[in-house]
Amino acid sequence: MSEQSATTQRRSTLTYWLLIAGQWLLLTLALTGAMVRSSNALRDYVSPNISDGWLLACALLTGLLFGVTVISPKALFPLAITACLVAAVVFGLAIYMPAWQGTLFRSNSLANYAQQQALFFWLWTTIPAVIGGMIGYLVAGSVRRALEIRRDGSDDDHTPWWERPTRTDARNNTNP
Amino acid sequence: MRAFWAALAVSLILGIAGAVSLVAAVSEYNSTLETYTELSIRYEPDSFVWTEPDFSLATTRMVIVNDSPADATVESLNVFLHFDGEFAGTNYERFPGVEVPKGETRVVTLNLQVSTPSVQPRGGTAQLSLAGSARVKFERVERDLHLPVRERIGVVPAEGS
Repeated sequence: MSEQSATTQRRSTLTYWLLIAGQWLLLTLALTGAMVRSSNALRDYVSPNISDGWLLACALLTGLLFGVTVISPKALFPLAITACLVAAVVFGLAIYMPAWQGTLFRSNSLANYAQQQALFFWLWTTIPAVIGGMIGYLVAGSVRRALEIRRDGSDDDHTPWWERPTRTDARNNTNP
Repeated sequence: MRAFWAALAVSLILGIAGAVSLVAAVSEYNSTLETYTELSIRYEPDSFVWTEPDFSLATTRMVIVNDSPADATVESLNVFLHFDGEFAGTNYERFPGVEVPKGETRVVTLNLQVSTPSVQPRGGTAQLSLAGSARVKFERVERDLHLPVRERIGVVPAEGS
């Protein structure tokens, strides 16, 4: 493989992981939004308040979407778990925010309550997210392989798109 | 490949919806809480009186004004008396709880006991202040809210001096 081809491949891999990082950020925001809307802690203050089922569905969908896009299981599950963790931390901070602003007294009971709610929501969303990730990974893997076999006519090349040589690489390789 | 981009597109839609929902919910939470905290607990000016000439006991009155949209019950009121910012004592008696319907005002009397002997002689010359919190139960709100209480009293000499 030429040096130019290796550089192009590195760029494609970097682009891929940047896209995954963007997806992680977006899905973390989606989970946080769902947590804030479905939590009992904020039910008296925020409307509309959706049921817990929507939060579970959102966590499952988050896992599914990660399962479709992330090919490596080594990255898939940490991504799903950290998305739930960061969403739960942001949710806990949102509960405690009025104390920082001085609207409420900075009591230990509020801090403990925010922490307890964040921990609960982290656990509550991690389970469906991991299950969704497994389902997405298995289903997307099969679909991806089936599509590639149909397109290429053979199942020899299972290289993901970001590792395949581009047309420019192919031209460069054929040139003497 | 197509599934990859479709998943990213769905993530983008969910992410934007989540961000909008999060910002709106947090802003609504803060603004709703602010309307509840329209219940104020203030020191009634000139109501602080030393009941013992050695500055060990005092009484003061607090005015509770409920301008919030709901009836409220002040379940506990803990105030700490400070001499020049240093802790001196508190209201050690159990607070009985006061119901304050919306739009109404209540006045409560607190007995304060100085429990730090090292600062006690400064009672008549120090800048006095109150700091603490009130636990308030609002109608239609499940969780009690802890509201801050922070008041400056000024210098209050012993009576007759």
